[in-house]
Amino acid sequence: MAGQEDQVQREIHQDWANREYIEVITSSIKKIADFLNSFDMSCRSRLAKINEKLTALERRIEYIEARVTKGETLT
Amino acid sequence: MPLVKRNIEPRHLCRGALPDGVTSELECVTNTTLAAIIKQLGSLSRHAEDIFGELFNEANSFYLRMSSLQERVDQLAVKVTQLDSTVEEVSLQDINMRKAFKSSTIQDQQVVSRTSVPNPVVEMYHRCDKPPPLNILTPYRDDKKDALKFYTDPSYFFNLWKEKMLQATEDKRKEKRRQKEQQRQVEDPSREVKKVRKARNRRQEWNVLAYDKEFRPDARLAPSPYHGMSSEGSLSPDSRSMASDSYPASPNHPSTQASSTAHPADHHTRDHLSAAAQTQSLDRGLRPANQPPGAGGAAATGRHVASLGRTPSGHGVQAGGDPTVNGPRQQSVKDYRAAHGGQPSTIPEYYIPPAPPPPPLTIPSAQTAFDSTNAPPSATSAVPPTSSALSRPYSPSPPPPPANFCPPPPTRLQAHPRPPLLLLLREPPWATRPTRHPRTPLSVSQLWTRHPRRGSPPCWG
Repeated sequence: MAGQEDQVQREIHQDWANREYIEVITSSIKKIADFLNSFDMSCRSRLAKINEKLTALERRIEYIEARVTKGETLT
Repeated sequence: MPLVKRNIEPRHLCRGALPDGVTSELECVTNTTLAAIIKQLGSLSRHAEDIFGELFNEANSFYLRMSSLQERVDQLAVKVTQLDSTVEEVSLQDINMRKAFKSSTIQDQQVVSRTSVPNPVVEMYHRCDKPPPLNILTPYRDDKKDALKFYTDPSYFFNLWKEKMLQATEDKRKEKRRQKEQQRQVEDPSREVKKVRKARNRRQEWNVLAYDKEFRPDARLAPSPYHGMSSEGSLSPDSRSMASDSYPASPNHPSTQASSTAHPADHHTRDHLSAAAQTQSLDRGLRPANQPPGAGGAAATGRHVASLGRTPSGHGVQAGGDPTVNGPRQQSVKDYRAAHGGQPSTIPEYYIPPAPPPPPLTIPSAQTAFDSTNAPPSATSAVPPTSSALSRPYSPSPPPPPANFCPPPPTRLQAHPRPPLLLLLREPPWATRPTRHPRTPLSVSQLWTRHPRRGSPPCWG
């Protein structure tokens, strides 16, 4: 039955199109996930650097404050 | 395989049973797949929100810290401009009495504890199977321990570490107690005092020991280069006789020479034996130091100008030789020998430094080389034996004063550059020379006789 074969062919063609569409969507999803991961990693590394600098600054500030303020004596 | 922190939930899009009674199956699958995609997007967005939330929290904490830091910096800037050096206290006592700076920054603790677990991991944890409910058996136990702890105990490792730390502190405490006990048993106040004294005045003690009783240094006695002649037995009989001949008037020349072959020439011999003096062993340098102060005083009138180590004029011969010379002098002597080789002994007047410590010194290898080369010529020099002999009587203890300072000949003053003190090897006073024979203290009478009291063979080199 050519008509039915046409119908099946059309369905298969449509299925192929759908799958391609789905494939595009899933690959986009993967790209989003990949981007999120890399963004997370880069953010964490930068925040860690900032953390280091912050701690160094805090220690220096503390020392300078101690130097500048008139300290109390032991006795 | 590492644990995935965030899983997008509908793992497989197209799986799942098809419902019955659908005509277009392909369409059905497509729709199912699209629905799964939408769920995946949903979980993806949830994960993204989680990621951004964590990053935001961290950045927020940094922002707070930074703003507080900014305020502190501003306050500091204001305060610094108000600093006035004239008003600040400057008393020295108060500076020491100030409280020490103590930082208030705390290091991160409990970084990987239960409370710092990220949310997705907590969710994953909750999705896991629970351990069996063994807790319901707890009331039935005799020892009343938690039944589940026998199966799975999250705090097991912490308890283990805690016990280890406590044990370590206990051990340290016990060690300290034990050491204190030992110290209390061993410590002797007098001994401690002795130790301190020794450390402080060792050189003086050596000098004192180097002298004989008659020649113990007094304030009135002039420092003599002959004090504590440490003739370590290196003087040959010939040299001894020569030495005694050369300085007949000096009581410092011991009649009998120590066995040290390395003491071929005393500083006395230096005066008289130019060529031979060079051959003198290392003892020569030590002669002056070993001369007793009394004897040295007599001899020093003519001869001893400066210590070997200190005077710039080098006695070329003597400098090289004496390993027994005390510290700087010894070194200078040795250096000199190295520097000047076989130069005639033009020893300027040296102030003989105090005698070296009683035990005979071992000759350093370099100097033994010198000694060996100089040993034969030492026979020609008469000074060494006398000088070595001189040194002997002044050490009351059997070990002879090790320092063999050779006092420079008073008559001969040559401009020898002073050897650098630091370059010379300084052998410890208690170092023993393998080839040396212990010097025996000589009586004063023997000093004036020119015969060797004992036939201790020269053992230098």
